[in-house]
Amino acid sequence: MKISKKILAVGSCAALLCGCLALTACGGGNADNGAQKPAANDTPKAADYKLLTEGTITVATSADYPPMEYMDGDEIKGFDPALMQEIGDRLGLKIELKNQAFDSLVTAVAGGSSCDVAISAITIDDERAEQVDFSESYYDSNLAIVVMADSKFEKKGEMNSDEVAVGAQSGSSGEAWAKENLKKAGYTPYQETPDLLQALRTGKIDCAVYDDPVAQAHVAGEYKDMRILDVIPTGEQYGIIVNKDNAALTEAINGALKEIKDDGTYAKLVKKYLA
Amino acid sequence: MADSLKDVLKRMLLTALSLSLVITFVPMLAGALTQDVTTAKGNETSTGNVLGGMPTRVTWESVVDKGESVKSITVQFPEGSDLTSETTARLTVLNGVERLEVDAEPVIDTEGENVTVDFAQPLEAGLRVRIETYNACLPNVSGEVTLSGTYTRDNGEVEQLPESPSIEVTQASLAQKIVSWMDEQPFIEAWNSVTVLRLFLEPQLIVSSIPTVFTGWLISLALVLVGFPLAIPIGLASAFMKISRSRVMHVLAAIYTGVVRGTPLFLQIYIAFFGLPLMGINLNEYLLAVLVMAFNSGAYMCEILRAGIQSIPKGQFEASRSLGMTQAQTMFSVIIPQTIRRVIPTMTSEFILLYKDTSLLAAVGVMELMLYSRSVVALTGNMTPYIVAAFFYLIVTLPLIRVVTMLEDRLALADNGGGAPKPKAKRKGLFGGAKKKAAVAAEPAAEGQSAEEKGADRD
Amino acid sequence: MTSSESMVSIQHLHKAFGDNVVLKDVNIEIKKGEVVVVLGPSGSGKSTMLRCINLLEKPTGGHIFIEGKEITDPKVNVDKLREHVGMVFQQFNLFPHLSAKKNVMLAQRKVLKRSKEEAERIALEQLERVGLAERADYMPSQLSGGQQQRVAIARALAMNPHVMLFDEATSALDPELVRGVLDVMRSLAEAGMTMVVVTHEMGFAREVADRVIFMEGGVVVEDGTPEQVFDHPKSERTKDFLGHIK
Repeated sequence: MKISKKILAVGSCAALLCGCLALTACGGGNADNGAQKPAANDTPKAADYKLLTEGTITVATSADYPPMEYMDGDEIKGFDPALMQEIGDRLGLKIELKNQAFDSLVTAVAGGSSCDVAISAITIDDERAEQVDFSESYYDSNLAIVVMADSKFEKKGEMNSDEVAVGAQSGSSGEAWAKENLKKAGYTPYQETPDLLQALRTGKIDCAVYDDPVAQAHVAGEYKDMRILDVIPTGEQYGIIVNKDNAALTEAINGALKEIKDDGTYAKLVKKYLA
Repeated sequence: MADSLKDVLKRMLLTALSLSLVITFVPMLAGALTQDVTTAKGNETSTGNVLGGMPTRVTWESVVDKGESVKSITVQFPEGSDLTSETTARLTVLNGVERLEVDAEPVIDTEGENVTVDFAQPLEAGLRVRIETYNACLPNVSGEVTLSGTYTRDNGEVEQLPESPSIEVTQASLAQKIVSWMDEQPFIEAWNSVTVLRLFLEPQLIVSSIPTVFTGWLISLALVLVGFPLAIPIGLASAFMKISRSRVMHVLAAIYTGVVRGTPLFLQIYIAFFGLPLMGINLNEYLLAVLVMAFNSGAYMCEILRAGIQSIPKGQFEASRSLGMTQAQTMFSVIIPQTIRRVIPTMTSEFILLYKDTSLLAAVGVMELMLYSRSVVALTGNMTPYIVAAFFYLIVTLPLIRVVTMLEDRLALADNGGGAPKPKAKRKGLFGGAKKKAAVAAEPAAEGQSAEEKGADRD
Repeated sequence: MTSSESMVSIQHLHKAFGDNVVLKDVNIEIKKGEVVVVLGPSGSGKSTMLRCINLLEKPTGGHIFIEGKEITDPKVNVDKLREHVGMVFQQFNLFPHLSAKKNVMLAQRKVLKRSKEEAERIALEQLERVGLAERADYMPSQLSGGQQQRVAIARALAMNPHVMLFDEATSALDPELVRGVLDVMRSLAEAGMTMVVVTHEMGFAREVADRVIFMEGGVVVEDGTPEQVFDHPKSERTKDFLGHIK
């Protein structure tokens, strides 16, 4: 056990190619002796899941997306981390949060050496599902087109023009929508949402496309100089992503999610963070 | 007062009447569904084009008209399309912006190339229905294609779907054709079954990401090929300022190089990209990128050139001045040409650093090598494009690193009194020369060291 | 050969580097066509005196006149002055990035604004004069020390100097290469060039010099014909020094 942990630690620190080697090592180590016994949940299937650190789910998130997830001092807070904490409580596991770029989350979970799962307002989508497993959806969302309050634009129809510059977060569903539906407009990806909004504020882009709940929080809070031009009814759903070789963990999370929804905790969380 | 109220009521009544007329007649003309969106996700990442014959995600979206209800929808893909066992479909039904849970599953007909959804509860008026078909191949042609199909009203009437907006399709490129061929090869499948190999070196992704990453490579190369030459006059001018006897000039240059070398390039990029626009300075992002790179590199070049100029023996100045040449003539005809020779290795190292540093521009949305490869990684969740990107960085840096080593060796040789074709006995005759050269030989070594330090603090 | 017209006139020259006084009240008169050899132990100030003549060192006191013009006047155009004063250095100081011919051409083109053809013609002439016409296209690193020094002399001569200053021109050379350089200097003297030569070559001084000056501790100790200085030195220090050399 100790040895395999060591290898894991090296694996998560090492650079790209070294990571390759470490991955192989991890795979082996986990298969042999990585099974964990959850403390509070005794559904038989859940016993098979694997975790990087015994008793802890390592969770990656991109904490630049209030109110879903954000940095409060050096602590990661928001709806997603709170939900994840509830899941951990129900599974008798600790939750360890890691902040990393949104467009690296799927890869990180698929690689399986740096985190167990990721929760970060990730839209369930069959392309991502080829790389990772999704939990049941835990929140319905839409996209919003955000412009400056004094923008001359009025309708989303005006945005598909070669005179418009659109921005979105790299790897997000907003990016996919903008590229597909605003083909004539110029497109710029940004790695972090604050950069995206700064670009909007400085006029580098005319509009930003990202998740509606976050946009609502922005324009009501720190970004009062912006407004929501239009909500795009995509009806997308957020899910927690899990490594494909860890179906048991996905199942355990789904079980916990159901409990959370059924006992009213979910409604409380929505009220606290998203109402 | 009462009259005006009556007036309003009358007007409202009239409006309602005419509206109900429209509602009853329009559906008969237009059908029960209004086509809203038909798009396909760009599957050629470098251009965002939709390639025919390659898997893509097709989104079809319609709204149920007033007074209607729909029991079943079949979306028919155009002739030449291919839905396979890997094709999946996702159904979304929305009421306004609210997602509804509906009891229905899309069924894919891989023979008839269509997707059918039967609703247990008929869809009511005003609802928006979206069917996303993943891994669907549109016809491999260049031109516009549309989706057709049928829908069934609640009363069992089957109607043709209104014509969808068109999707512009581009014929698949050679790279894409190679990928299709690779998809069917058992040995590639075996390779990809190993997680590590698939995540880092998926052959299909190598081939399909090369055109995209190549585009980024050209841009990165262009950025550094414009930025670097721009940095040379900046560096030279500030080097002159630094060695000039004017205190003001010296201080100005010292502030410039101190601030630029003392802060990360990353920070400078952020300030330039987000700070300058706040001051009302709006430049094209590539122009701005080149300027920031040149401004940054200029400070390092200032130090390289200053050290280079000061490494030229004093006798060279004296000989030149004693011939009656002015200070400027001495600089440009005697000192600078010798300096350049001396600093070429360090300058080449600087070029390599600058080339690699173009990757930092990705953070502010400048589409270059790093960002292009990242866009593919984000799309596929696979590391392979980064490996391809690494290759594109290396094809420039490795030969240059080799060149630097070679030049450094040659310079060391020349400084040791080599280069003279008369190897014997004359050494002592060159003693004076050898001594002065030995003194400056220490200089490039010091430069090399500072370049290394720099490399360290920039990483 | 000598005329009575003054070429260089040094009056009460004083030079100090900080607190370190190098030249104290030096007075030297050099006539047109005269060959003056300056002797003295190292640190005697002879090189500094020479370098003051073309202002590579700025005098801290006194006056220097060249052809009657005061060069220590702050208004004087130093670059213009230097055109007429050729200098040859101990370390040759050829421009290493230029061939022998281009070394000789550079200042002609830049300072005298001669055409490329003329500069090239004169360069080849001067290289011929120092016996190196066939090495015109060699790089300095491909030449021996003696050859480099001769190119340096050609480079100075191409500017048509009125006076040539030699600062220990043979000190950095192997003994067998010294002769070639001295031969060139001797022929220059014979052609009537005004020369101020700082050297340790006693034979050359005795044979070629019109006058020998012996300096020590920043002052002129002896000033006379070679016979006077070598055979009948006035001071003990000169005797001592000459004894050492021999």
